[in-house]
Amino acid sequence: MTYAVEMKGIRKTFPGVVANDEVTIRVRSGSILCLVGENGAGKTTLMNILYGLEQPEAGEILVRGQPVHFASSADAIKAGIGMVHQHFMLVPDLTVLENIILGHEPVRRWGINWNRARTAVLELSQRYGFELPLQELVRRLPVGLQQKVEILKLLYRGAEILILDEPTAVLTPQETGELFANLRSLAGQGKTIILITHKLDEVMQVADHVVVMRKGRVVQDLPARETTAEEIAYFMVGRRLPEVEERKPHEKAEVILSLQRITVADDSGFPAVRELSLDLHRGEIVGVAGVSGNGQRELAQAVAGLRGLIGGDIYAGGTKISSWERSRRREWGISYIPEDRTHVGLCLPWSVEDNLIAGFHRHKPLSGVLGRLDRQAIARWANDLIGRFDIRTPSRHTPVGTLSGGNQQKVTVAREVAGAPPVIVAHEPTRGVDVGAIHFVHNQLMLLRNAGSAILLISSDLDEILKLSDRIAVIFRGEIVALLSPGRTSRQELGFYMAGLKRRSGDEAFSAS
Amino acid sequence: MRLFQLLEAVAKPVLTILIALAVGTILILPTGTHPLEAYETLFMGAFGSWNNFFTTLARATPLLFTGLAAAFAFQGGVFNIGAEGQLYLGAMAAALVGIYAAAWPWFVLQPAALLAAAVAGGLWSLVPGYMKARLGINEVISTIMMNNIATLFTAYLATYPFKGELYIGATYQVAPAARLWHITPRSALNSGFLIGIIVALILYYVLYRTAFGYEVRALGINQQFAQYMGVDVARRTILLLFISGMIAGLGGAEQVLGVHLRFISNFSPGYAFTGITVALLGRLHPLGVLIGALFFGALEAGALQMETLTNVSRDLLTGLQGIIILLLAAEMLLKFKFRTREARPE
Amino acid sequence: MNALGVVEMMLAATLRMSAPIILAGLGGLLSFRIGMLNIALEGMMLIGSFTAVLVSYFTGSGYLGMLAAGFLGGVLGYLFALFNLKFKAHNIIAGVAVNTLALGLTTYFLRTFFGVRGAFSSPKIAGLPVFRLPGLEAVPVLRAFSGQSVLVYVSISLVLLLHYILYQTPAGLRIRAGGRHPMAVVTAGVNLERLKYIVLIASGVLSGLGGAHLSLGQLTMFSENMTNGRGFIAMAATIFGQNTPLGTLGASLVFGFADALTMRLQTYNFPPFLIQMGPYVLTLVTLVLVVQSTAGRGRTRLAGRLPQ
Repeated sequence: MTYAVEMKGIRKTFPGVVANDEVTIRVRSGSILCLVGENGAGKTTLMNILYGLEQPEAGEILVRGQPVHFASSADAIKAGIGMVHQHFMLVPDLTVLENIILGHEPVRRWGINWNRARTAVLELSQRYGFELPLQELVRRLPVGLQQKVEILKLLYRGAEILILDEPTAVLTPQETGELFANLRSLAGQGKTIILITHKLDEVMQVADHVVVMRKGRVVQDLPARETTAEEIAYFMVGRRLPEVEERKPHEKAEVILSLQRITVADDSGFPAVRELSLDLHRGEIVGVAGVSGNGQRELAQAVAGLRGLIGGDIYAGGTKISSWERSRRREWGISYIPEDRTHVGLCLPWSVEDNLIAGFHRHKPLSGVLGRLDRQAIARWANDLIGRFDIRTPSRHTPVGTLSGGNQQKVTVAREVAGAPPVIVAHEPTRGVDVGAIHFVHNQLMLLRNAGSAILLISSDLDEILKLSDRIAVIFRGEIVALLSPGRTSRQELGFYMAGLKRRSGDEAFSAS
Repeated sequence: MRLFQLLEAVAKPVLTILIALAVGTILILPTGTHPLEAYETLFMGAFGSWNNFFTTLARATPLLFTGLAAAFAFQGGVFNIGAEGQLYLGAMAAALVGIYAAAWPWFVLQPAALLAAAVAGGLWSLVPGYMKARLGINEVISTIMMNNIATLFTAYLATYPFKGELYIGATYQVAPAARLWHITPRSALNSGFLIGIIVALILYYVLYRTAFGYEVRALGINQQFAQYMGVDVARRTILLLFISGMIAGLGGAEQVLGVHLRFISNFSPGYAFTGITVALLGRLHPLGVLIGALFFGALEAGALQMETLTNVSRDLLTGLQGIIILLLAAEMLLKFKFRTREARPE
Repeated sequence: MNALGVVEMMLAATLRMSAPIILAGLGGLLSFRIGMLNIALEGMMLIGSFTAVLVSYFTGSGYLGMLAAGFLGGVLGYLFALFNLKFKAHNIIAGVAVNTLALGLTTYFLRTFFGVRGAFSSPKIAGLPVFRLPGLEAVPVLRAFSGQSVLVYVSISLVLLLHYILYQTPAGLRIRAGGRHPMAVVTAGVNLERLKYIVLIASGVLSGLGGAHLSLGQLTMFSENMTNGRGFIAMAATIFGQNTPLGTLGASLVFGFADALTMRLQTYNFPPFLIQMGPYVLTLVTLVLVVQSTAGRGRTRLAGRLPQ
């Protein structure tokens, strides 16, 4: 039997790590393969190799039984392979049509043949059932539609084999269902689909075949119907994880942070958070669930003090802090774990030590007269945090950019929570982090909650939200559309709220559990 | 650890200089002179006698100031290409104070003139500073425009309203009390050099031993990170440009109060641009900048002798500057190859 | 001289002074669109000026001087691309490097080849070929369009050509996309790096030609640091022109006009300095005005705006 794609004995290393170690996978045409593994397992690297973005050191690739060599994506595209990346490869200021034909523009004489382009794309969108506004600028489209543009782009280039990298990260449960229906239809028409994902319930929904990777190796390879989500999880991690620290029941505690009808503008001046009200009590975790891009970033930044309010007020412990800048809020006790740890939370070329003091460098004991840095106090501080948070690093002077993703996140988290601050804003605290570190972070958050800290957990990972939250607030287009108790709701119900299909009316929204 | 860092700051410019000299032999060969002979006369011209040595230091001084100005701003991620204009404004301010406040005693007049120069230079940088911080206008363009405006404006002042007794566009001489103390009557070396060293030491301390400097360095590497830890980027950018402008202004003052003793139009042969090279050569470290400035000062002091005694013209200097820049760029290639890996796909 | 005559003279002078800015500005425009800020236009123009004089002197041909200028400008553009793309140097530093190199080399070789310092001129240097448009010679004012150096016509034609290329060809689409979302272009199978090299070399060629016009276009001479900031004015022109070919043309004409006005007023014994400051002040003012008017639209994305 000829497989659509075979990758045999692929080996790829990066400095310090073997990303793919003798990896072999086979995919039949007309089927959907789910490539599963935690972050760092090597799945994206493997697919980057298949798409020609990386070169393997050893191994071979066969497409429809023929050995191929891809020096770049152009070769892969010619072989009929297309990839939809986790972060869309769409140019926001160009139209849908321009984005689709980019790189494969039909030409006449000296320029682009726009008529031929339009006809070709319209024909494709009818054939596969994708309705798209060709003249619209991509940046005006909702995320679900943008993803369809990405897929149509692949079909336009004649892709027979489609690779999708974490496609559901930005979708509501309903949009996910729609995507899967589309994918199944494409598979039914003979296309081959490879899905990279770490969401196990989705795997069980859509996969024909499952390949599990861990630490660069294939550890399981079997048809989907022969396994379960729990079994896959076991293979992904290699061991059963102990439960996270238990949630201690609390008496109803006082409000420590109050957001009162706050309105926050995004970078282009558009109100991303609109008259949002929310109260945080001592010793509770409020999970803010929602699809990325509904104002979460602006909300987090506004509470942290990195973005101003254009309406409403924020109160901390009864004091109005709306006009306070970041450093003053940090001093008061609002910590912030940012969404983007590599570019915001850390300074990669700097040492672990220098990163651990960021934000605290102006205060005693780290600095003294005239702002002079006390290097010995800094050393003590750094060693203390490295020990307490089990940060794996050769020394405190090591550049933090050389640490693994999980350890980098530990540095950020350690710095922010070491002082057991009264309020913590955690935005996607476990994104791109290995399971061991995820467990660590969840544990820390629970411990802090039990000790009385209030945590605003903003995450697109519903599992994380459901596991950790005392209350769940769903954010949609900058407003809280529901406040729910985790025990009394379902992923489906949450999905409805996240997609804006339902909303709780006024009083209901604020009187949950 | 700190000692190692200091040694590193000194070693890097020295190494670059040696390599540049080696490569520079290519430019010397066509003239028929033996490179070693050329370099020997260069060296003797720079260090061969006390007077030569003083000349070296004197020539290094303006570059020290402009180099420090550039380096300090660059450390914070601000590309102050406007030191030339800030230099001129500072020079003019010092000249005017030195001429029209002639009655004051030296211990009031000199600090006043220097202060005026620093403030003038700082204020001149506020325009591009404000434009960058509040409007997002790239400071490279705005500072360059300000350079040209400053050069022309000060030339205008020296040719019309404040014209002195000479035929050229220059002011009167500054009062004797305003003149910086000279080491010997025969050389241009003056106390300005010492001021420069003090500024370098202060900058070193601020950048590497204080919380403020920590923030500045963070800003230069990763603006979002600096913001995240509480730095007001807009305000800090303006402050950095202001300080940088002040230092450049002081450089201008040294030339007026210590060398020419009056303001002469267009007196700067591109000190600020050479200063940028010096700053890059010194890897933006104040002590590295000092070494770079000394090197270029030595080149200038020795070049005349080299030109007199050999076939090599003193424009070799500009050629060497270009070579140094190429080396610095090549070094970035090496650094890239050995740099810690970027975040790889998970 | 009557009013019409003055207008005609100003128009002719404006065209002449705008040409180098248009050429370099188009180079800057392409670079910016593909995502590479190019402050090396100054150095590339300067090399062009010097090379044009050098080659014209030794060959007696303005054409050859012009071609050589474009060629060497392209070489410098290649160097700039190398620093940026291969050595991964910081964009601004690479630009400063190229400019310093150009200044250093031209000054050094001015001395080495011609034995002078400061400026060099000689009857042996042939100027650029001049074109007449017989149809216009009889028309007042429009007469100004005839008798200009070849590069003036080239520059205006290039504006139209570049407009077409940018919006109607695959290369143009890829350039426009490349500056906004390089990975989208790369994953489409396009060799973006090669395109960047081409664009930067082209910007070098264009700037070099602009430099040739400077030194051979009317008077034939080279003086130290002849460009004197015109490369940066070209950069300002592209920004002012919203990074479009037609906009750049318009902006360059404005700057050229200011330059011409400066020359004119000097004959009336205005203190030269204040007028010479004109173009630079104008640049600053227009930068501020342009940014103010497009505030919040995110169109001039030169240096990221700092959030309030």
